[in-house]
Amino acid sequence: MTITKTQEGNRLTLALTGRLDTTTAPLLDSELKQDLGNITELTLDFANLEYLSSAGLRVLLSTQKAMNRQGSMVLKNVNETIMEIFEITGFADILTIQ
Amino acid sequence: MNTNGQSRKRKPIRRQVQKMVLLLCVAALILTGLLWAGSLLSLRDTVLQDSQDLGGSAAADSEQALLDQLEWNLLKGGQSEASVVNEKLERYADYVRSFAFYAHRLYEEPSAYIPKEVLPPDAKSQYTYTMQLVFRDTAVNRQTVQDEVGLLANLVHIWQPVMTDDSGVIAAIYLCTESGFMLNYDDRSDLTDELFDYSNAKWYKPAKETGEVIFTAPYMDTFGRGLMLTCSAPVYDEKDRFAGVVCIDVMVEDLCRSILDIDFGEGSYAFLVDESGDIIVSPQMEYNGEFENVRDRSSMAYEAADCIMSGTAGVIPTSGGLYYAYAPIAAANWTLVIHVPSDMVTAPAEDIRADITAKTGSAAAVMDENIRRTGFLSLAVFVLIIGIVVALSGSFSRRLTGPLLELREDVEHISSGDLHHQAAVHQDDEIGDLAQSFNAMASSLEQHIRDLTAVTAEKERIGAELDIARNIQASMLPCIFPPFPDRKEFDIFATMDPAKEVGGDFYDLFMVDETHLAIVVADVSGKGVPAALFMVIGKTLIKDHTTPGCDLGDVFMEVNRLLCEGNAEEMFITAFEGVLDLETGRFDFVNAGHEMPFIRRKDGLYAPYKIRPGFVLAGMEGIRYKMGSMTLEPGDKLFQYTDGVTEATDSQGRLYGMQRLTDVLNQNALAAPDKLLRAVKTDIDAFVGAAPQFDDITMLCLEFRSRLKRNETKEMTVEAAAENIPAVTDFVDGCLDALGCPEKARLQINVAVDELISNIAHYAYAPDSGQVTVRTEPDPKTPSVAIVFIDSGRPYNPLVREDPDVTLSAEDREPGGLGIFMVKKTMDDLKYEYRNGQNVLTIRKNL
Repeated sequence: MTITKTQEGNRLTLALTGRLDTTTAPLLDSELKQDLGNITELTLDFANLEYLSSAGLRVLLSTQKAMNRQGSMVLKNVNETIMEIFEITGFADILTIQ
Repeated sequence: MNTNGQSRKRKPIRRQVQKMVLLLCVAALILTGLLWAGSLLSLRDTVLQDSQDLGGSAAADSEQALLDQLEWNLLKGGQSEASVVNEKLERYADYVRSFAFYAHRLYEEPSAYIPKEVLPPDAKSQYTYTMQLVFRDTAVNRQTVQDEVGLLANLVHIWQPVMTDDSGVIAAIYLCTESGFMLNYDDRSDLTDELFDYSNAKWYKPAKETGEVIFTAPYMDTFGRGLMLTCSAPVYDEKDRFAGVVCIDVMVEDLCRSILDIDFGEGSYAFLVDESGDIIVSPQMEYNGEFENVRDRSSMAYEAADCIMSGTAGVIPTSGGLYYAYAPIAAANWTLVIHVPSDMVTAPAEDIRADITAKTGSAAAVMDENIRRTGFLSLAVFVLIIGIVVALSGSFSRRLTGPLLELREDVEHISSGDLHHQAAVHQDDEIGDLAQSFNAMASSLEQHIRDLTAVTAEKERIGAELDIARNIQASMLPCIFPPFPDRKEFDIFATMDPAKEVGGDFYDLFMVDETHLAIVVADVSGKGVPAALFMVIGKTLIKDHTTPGCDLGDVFMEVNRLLCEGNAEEMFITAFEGVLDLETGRFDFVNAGHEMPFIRRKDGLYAPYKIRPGFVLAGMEGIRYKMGSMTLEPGDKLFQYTDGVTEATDSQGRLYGMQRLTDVLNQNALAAPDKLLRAVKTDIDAFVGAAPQFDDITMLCLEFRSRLKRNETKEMTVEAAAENIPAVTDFVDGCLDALGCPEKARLQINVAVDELISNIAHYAYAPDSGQVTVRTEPDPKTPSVAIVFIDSGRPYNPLVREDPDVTLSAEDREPGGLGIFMVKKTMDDLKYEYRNGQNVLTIRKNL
């Protein structure tokens, strides 16, 4: 998986490409922990994300929690497969998906 | 345009015209000038010659006239003078003749006259006219002659009146007798001695001898009374015997003076010549008794002497440039001669000649000066004319070439692409016509370019569309090889080389289902876009109707029916379709008028496989097609093609043909399909050479390598670790691809593999590590796939774990338990068992 970061002041956008799974989730986790400091608006672009596993869900959950405290988090361009996972797991209600 | 022009000097028309005009002008001027100068000089020469001739002839004429005049004057003058002198002399002659007659009378009749006494000369009677008696000599008997003296003394009677009448002229009258006495009547008494011998006197002897009246030459009077001459006549007695001479002495001073006074100009004079040629009166005379004779050679008149002495009147020139006019004086047998130097006469003529010559010379000088002046003037005029001609011809040629230069600029404008530019038409002449032609050409060019542009644009548009069509066509034919890289059971390769941008040939290869491969090779009648369109329909229909388990004969019947429905263009397709059952090697086929395929059995040779072709597709409705069938063994190959291969033509019109195809196929019998097709294509290209390709060339080669083993269970064993998840995923994907697994199911299976392997990695052997075996079990019947996860870790059934509450808020949610939950939700079946000390978890997903 590759992560492309775009930061404008307090806004941070991460575009994910590939698979967010057990192997790659820790990479996203460490990236977020490093950059989240004073970010108030976090956007995750899933346009090129093929699928994600429970490890990915874990990172999303913890990030959502963190952002609930300091700002907002938005997911966009979520594909059908991943959306189904979000719906199965109840994450669709937790996350802000555009 | 300047291939030769560069080396040669450029000659503008302007210069040429100017040069020509100038040349003509100069030539005309030179010619005119030469003619003019020639005639002028000739005129001058003629005038001068005429003038000189005129002068010469005038001078000669006037000279001649003068001479004639002179001659005439001389003649007349001479005659006139001579006549005057003659008259006077005649008178004197008459006197003496009458005296002689009277004396004769006295002799004849002595009795009739009274003797008279005559006294000797006496000084007392000086200056008184008296008769005196003188004797010839002493011998004369004075007595004897006394009677005769007395008789003859009567002469005084006639002498006295004569003397009285002419006393101023007649100095003395006297008679000398033969008998020896002399009666002298005058007023001088010089003969004092009474003796005078007259017998030899000039006036006595000749008169006596000739019997004629004699005139003596003038002589100086002894008494100083001037020039005098004596005129004498013989006297005869009664018996006519010579008795004596009667004389008169005449004062001729005046007469001589009148002669000497004759003047015919400078150098002229007159003189008298007596009958002997002696010059008796002349200006040069000294009257000393010596005479110059004209007959003497020393005389100036020598040449004229004969004429002078001829007794006639005339004028004669001498070689010495002298004129002598002569006239006879008959009374004395004298001749009057007038001497005139002719140069005196001709001097005026010479003056005239000199004058005319001088005038002619001055006229020539004036004429030369005029000619010279005229020459200079003409030269100036010529130069002026040439200057004017140069200027005018320059201006004219500029006017002539100006429009040409303008036209050239216009044409350059036009040729540089500005076709709207209109050449200005100034004149109604050839240049104007040319300009109009250029304008017409430009307009017509513009129109052509516009048309051409439109046509080109249209062609480009069509070309672009054809390009698109070709791309579409190319993309419709499978062109990625190998098309099914996971299929190890067969190898396939196909090519299509269109003759035009879009071809009528096509091939197709597709999986009818998991175990059936369909191939199609077809040729649409015609070429280009219509064929391509028809091909699209045909290809689509064939593929659409080729379904698992269908009868290919039925497929072609249906396709034929559909194609016939909308075949306004009456096109048709020859097609060959075959379907290979990868499991059994059974090869079903149907042929609609197409070439027979080549089959090469394993280790054998390619050979056409004879099948009965049916009728072409779209040719006729209701045609039935019969499916054929054969079995391919692993290692067998099939080669199918279109007629573009065998009908490829070389430049000599020879066909490639079946034999060459068979040969090249068998030369490459062992080659894989792609190499085989390339070899065949190379051979065709070598055969055709530069000849154009008329037909599409389509080839397909299928190699059946091995039979497909269905329901094959595969497994792999790896260490149960998160880093091995990608390897396991790849393994499973391989199985899924072979099954034609949908993408969504594959992703869900991927997620499940990820969750389950990471579960085992985290929990089964912790803190140690161990192996996990993943086995895929496809079930084509359902169709579905089962994936079995086997590990030897501590017994653990993940399925019994309680599902997480998915309704909680984010803050309340725990991160665990979601993995198994998601697997449960996405898989169709999960099963766990602990068997032989192994956790065996089986998930099943319907495909």
